[in-house]
Amino acid sequence: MDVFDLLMQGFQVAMQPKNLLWCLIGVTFGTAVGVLPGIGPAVAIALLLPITSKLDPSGALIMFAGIYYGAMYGGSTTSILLNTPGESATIVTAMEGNQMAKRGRAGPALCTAAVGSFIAGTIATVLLTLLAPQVVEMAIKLGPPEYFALMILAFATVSAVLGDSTLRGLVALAIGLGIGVVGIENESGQARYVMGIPQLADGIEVVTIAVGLFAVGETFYNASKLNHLSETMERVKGSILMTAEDWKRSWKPWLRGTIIGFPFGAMPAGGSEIPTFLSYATEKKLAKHPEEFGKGAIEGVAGPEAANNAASTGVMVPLLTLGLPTSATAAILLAAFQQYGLQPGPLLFETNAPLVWGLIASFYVGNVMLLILNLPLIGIWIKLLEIPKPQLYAGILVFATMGVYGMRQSAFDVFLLYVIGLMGFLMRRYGFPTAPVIVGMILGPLAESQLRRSLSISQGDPWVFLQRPISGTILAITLLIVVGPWVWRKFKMSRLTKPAI
Amino acid sequence: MRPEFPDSPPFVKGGRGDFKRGEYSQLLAREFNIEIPLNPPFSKGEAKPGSSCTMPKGQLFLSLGVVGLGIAFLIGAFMIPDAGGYSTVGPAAIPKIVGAALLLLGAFLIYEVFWLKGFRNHDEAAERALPMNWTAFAWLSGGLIVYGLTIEHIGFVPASVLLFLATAAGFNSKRWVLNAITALILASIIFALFNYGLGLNLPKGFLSGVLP
Repeated sequence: MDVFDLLMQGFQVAMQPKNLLWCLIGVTFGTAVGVLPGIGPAVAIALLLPITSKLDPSGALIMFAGIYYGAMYGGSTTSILLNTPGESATIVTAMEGNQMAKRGRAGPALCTAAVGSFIAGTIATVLLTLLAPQVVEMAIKLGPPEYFALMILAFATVSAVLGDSTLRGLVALAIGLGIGVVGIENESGQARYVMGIPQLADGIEVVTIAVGLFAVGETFYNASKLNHLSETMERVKGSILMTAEDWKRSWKPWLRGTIIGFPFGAMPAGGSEIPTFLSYATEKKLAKHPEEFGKGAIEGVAGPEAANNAASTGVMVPLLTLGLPTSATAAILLAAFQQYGLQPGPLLFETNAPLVWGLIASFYVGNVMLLILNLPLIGIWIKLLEIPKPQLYAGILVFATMGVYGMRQSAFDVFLLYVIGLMGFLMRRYGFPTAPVIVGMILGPLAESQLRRSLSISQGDPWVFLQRPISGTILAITLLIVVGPWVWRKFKMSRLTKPAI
Repeated sequence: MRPEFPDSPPFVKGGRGDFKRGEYSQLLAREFNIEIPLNPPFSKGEAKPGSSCTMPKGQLFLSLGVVGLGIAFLIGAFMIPDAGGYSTVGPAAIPKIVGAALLLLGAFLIYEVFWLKGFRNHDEAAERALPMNWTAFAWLSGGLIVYGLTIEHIGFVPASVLLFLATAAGFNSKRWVLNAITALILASIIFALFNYGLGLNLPKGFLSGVLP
């Protein structure tokens, strides 16, 4: 069956009324958590993991994916109006978009972000549709050593390459791997680090960790650094529609941003920080009026927003075809699959084609819904930004504890949540990234079993990873991307600092 | 050598808790020749030579904590009976690697604290500019601990109301009545939605005889 037939099959799943409803709920909730500070898509999906016991997989996964890309749309609204990017990927949008808002052009800034996100999201989904079967074709030929090498690559990119410090990223990764180890081990049935606590025998729930690190840690940080906050929200004046001039200036940056962003997400080496900066720099270079950049140039919003969205859709390629999450949210989506006993990867495309293709088809549907939700209804989302901090964070904690307690009705998990929240606070305070913890915890046990399988095949010979050409190449690439940027930075740094002295 | 940013500012600003921007972003910005404007809302800190030379004690304790975690993890790993079979990866293999890694990484952190006078690319000055509010910290801690202790006895809705009140108080909100009403409505909606709509089993507490 060719791609088109498979996709049509997918649309039959995605267009079922109940799945349309789940998609709508997902993208709406996603936009809301994207707009709201203190809670992001990773937390939102984690909190809803308990309901997987009551929902069928396609409905739940369509909703979760909707939250994932819906949050990207919502995030840009907050960046533009408050100039407070929730994540570093939106830092350039925040900068340029907020400048537009300050000059009374908040409307067109929001509009170019929404339309740009739509175009980038849709084109990226087309690319995902075309690319996924190809990758699956290749992935089927991979054995355990190759998967293990890919997982090492993912660990390296998530912890070492992205972020301020390789060292602190690796600490976070090690903690995540450690958390993943707790509980009864799959193969041998051996209890690890259970310490006689029955709740630990089943392992530590990903909800507890994600919600603790992100929502509770963030709340602690904000509360304890209170009274030093001042923020101004820009008003949206006049029409939110773009003028003909705006359209003319936006469409090329949208397309260029998409082309820049998608490969970064699709390769398991991504992160959406680099493509947004790259897109911004490209637009500045190509613009007729580069002097407008930094003072509210629409290209500087259109390009990076498209790049950000295309990158986050691109993340679906390694996640769906290889089962390889390269961001915290992707890792939690993987956990959602696991709740149903499903493992994303090439096999899932064979055994569960309607589910996978239904999910991919729902991206097309969801992007259309998001365009409608974010343009005519933008006023509602702006209202969300007016919720006062005390009530907002109190509400977030009520939701957070509900999700954590509800997962398995255990008060122990609430105390664990508190401890993890304190850890999240410390990590935040001392500049440790939190995403590697989540990725390590979820991908760690999978990597362990691939390692075990690889060594069973090779009868204990650890050189198997280097002897097989594909896994050897992947490991070499891993080494290159861990060490490469460091060397490049040293080189840049020496060139940058010399003229200054 | 630590990369020196002559104008690396402590980004002190409000909003969703973004008091500082990762210096990684600055690095990227530099590499792509993007100027991130530093005038308001970013406040540019005065560079005080010498002030950064004080030993960051918190960082040292945290690094020691990582080392301690590594040791604890290693001890635990050696207590796991390891029967690897013919694959050499028994259940204790990964725990040993993780423990050793934490130990090593913790040692590197201590090295950064002592020899680089603080974590690389971490703006300690920006963090110190915002002193810790222990009252808020206590309110939130109390709220969560009380929630854990009471939820199975008084039920989801009352426990959530208490947590809401404590958190709001931590954020300096004095509108107790309004907060209590908001909390009651929010918790009741969540309870109805997740208990009856989605089949979760949240404790009913006081009302277990009354509610279906």
